[in-house]
Amino acid sequence: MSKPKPPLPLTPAVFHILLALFGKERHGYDIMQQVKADSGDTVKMGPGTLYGSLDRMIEAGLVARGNMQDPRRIYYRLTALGQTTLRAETDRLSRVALVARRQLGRA
Amino acid sequence: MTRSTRQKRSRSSRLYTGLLGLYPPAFLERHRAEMLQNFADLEAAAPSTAALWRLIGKDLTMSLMSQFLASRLGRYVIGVLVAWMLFFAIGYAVRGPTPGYPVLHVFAGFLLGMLAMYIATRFYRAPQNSSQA
Repeated sequence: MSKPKPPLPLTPAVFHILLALFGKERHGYDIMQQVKADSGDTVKMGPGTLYGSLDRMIEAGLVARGNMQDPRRIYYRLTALGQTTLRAETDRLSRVALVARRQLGRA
Repeated sequence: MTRSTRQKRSRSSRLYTGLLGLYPPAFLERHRAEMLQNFADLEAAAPSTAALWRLIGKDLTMSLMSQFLASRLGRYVIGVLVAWMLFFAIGYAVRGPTPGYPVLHVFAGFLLGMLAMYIATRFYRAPQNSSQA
């Protein structure tokens, strides 16, 4: 069986959620705060956007539910595919940034 | 925290609870408790009620639009709009901009749209739609 391919490119919201969940299980509010911090206050996510994205990410196999003891504080974690996707998107963005820097340097 | 602030916050919370009813039932079943908790956290951390509602207003608009377009009803509404535009374009091409005919086209399109909306509403309430949030 072949490995599932990372669904690239990612939307900014999905990329930031994956980044927030890297290495740590987090609940919804914690994810929103981490996204805000990681993006330097440029990506502000509300509950509707967050849970809509999380539903799609769970369906795509990027994220899984973790601790569900408290229904108000359900924890989410990255899956192996989520980690692969995050790394692949980071590489892609780095390549794009490199090309952009080269082009801007010429101008 | 003053009494009036507490009242204001509880009004915000009540309003948000009511607005959550706009989301599809299946989505609410999964996330209602989390969303209310997140709202309470956001409310506690917000510098002002206006700042809180700026974030929530934008979030509600974007996420409800996205939920609607992903739902069966949303796809039907888009289908109806496309069918309506096609119907209108064909009518315009065949009959031209004759006074009187566009009114008929619009009326027929309206009837078609109403019928499709009725059917879509029946589907939207069907249990198999519950997985499409």
